[in-house]
Amino acid sequence: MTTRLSRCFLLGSHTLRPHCGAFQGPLDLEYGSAEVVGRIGHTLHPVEALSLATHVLEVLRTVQGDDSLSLIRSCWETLLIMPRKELGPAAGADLSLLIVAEQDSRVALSAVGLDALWQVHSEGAQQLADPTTNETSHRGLPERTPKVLELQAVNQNFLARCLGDGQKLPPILDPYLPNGSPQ
Amino acid sequence: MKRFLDGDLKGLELPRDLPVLREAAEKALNEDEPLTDLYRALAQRHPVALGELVVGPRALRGVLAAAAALEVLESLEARLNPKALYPRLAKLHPTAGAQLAERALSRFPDASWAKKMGEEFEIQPGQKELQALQNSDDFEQACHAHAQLGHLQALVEHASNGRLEALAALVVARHHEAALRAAAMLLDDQPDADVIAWFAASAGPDCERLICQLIPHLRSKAAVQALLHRASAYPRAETLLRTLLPAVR
Repeated sequence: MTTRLSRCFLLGSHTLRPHCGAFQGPLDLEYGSAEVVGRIGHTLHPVEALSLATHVLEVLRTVQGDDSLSLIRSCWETLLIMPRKELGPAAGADLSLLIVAEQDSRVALSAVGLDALWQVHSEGAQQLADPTTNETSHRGLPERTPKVLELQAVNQNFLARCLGDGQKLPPILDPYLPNGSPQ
Repeated sequence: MKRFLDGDLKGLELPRDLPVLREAAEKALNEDEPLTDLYRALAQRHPVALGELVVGPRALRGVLAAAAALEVLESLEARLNPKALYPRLAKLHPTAGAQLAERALSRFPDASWAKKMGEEFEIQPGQKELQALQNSDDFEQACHAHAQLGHLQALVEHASNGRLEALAALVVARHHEAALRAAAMLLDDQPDADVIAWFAASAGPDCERLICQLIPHLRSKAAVQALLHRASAYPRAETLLRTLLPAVR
């Protein structure tokens, strides 16, 4: 089993069902590590939302890539060719997704449907994106493959909030720190 | 004076005429006449006189006096310290003690004196309010409010009877032990309950850990099977359930 290096986390919404439709899991990257977090169908009943989120995660976990960039591209292409009705009643328009892949001392990130994205360090968190960042804030699944941000770094953790959930950072960042106590 | 009992206080100068009013009220109680209208009128116009009649040294007693006092509690609270008011009323009207304790818990859920009254009268905090909202759209919101107030037993009861909103509220408020207890009871009774979906919606990344913690509490094969059927998104929990399945009856 590959140790996951850089990690990503999705914060819950400020609703009665904060994680409804949320999913998280590792992806298959041969010479590195990759992870995806996301949310879909968050306004559905928890049973329907879990079924939808599980389906999307299962689809993404079948994706393979030789390197970070090809893995991320394949993830998007896989989602883009899925029949939209498989993406729930909103046909993917309520999808939030963050993919993080690390290989050869570089971290690649790609996202849609985010209000905020932070890189978390022991000194605090640096905001990388907000609702005005076109590359990460597109509402739902776009028509074309989203862009990828590459950082020269290793073992970085990223924290995101879904579109509509605001930009409030949690007061305690310890669970999200690299080598902290990730869930 | 019947008109006083109907809330017509014209011609009275209070507190000077309090003895007149007391006499009329005592006579009414002896004749099983309600005091509600009188108390309501006093609450609006002469709250000091109301206080005298309801909790003063010569306070009126009896079932009808208690019923009328319950109607004007908010007005009394505005002038008297609730910490002293409620126990005094409970002492004056032991038969209304449980109702008073419920009201105290409902209005002052964080107050230690209200909790003490609740224990004394064996009131389950939050139970009555949640019961009243069972068929309302506000039930889920109320569950979260009561979870924040720590009304665990009432929420466990509702959750174990199949109200998964109560289960989720316990999880969101991080009352995990109570949530696991409720989930185990529910699955014993209704193995097909959608516990995992509600755990997922409320616990997010903690969901798999919660399922794994729930597994040792399961007592029936049907519950293990039903959970296994729904655990495909959680490989560690799925493995545990598969391991456990042959061992349960």
